Amino acid sequence: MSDTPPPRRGFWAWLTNNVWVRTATRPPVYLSLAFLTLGGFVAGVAFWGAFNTALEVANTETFCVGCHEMRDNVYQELQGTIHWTNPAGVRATCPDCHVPHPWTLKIARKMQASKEVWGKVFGIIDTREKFLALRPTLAAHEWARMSANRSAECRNCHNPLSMDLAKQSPQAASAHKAQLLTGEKSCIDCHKGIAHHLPETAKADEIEGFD
Amino acid sequence: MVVQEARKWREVLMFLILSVFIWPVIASGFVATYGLAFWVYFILSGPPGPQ
Repeated sequence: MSDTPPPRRGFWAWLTNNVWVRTATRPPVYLSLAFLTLGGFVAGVAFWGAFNTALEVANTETFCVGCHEMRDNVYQELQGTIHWTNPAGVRATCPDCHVPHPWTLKIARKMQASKEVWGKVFGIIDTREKFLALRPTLAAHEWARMSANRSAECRNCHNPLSMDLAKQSPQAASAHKAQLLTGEKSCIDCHKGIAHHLPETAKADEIEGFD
Repeated sequence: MVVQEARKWREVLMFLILSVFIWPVIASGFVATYGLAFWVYFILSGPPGPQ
């Protein structure tokens, strides 16, 4: 019997004895603290910039309509609406309405997009027929999301308090006064189907939350 | 001297691997996990309210 324990074997032993792992986990001999901190600092700045650039690229209309599912369906429909062309020349692009601004919610939405990648890979809505069949479901998701956040994405541009009710139609003015300004309802609760076509009415009637 | 040169080279290369690849991947993975956690949370709790 010897006092020294037998040499360990297996993955852990290989890992702790690996020369690269040892290099990474022990103090360096040749690299100074100043160099290491500067290097980490520079790499950190580069990473932060690259991360935000990638995030912004993924937040462009070009990126969104990179898939024919979006380009051939919802993107075409948007082009006939007031959010595409209007007297003021202000356009709402895909992320303006569909990607939340707060960082946590934006990252959560970006992760949700992995489901869209899944759908793309397996052709869930790769034909017009499949898209139309799923439209009530897809619309219901987005309506529920916008209703829950009190139409936060609408309100990134539109502010009820900035509305000139006198310039609205009497019907719109009275509805806004009675339901919007009282906080009873938010934009999406009435203004569905303003940027994309509505699901077929027969199906829309069955959708919860559709008035 | 040859051995020391080898170690110096290993340290520089490991520094580059760590700073350019490993830490960025871990950081991205951390953010992805954070987003995923909120997605799962929203599935259970319903979509978030106004911020």
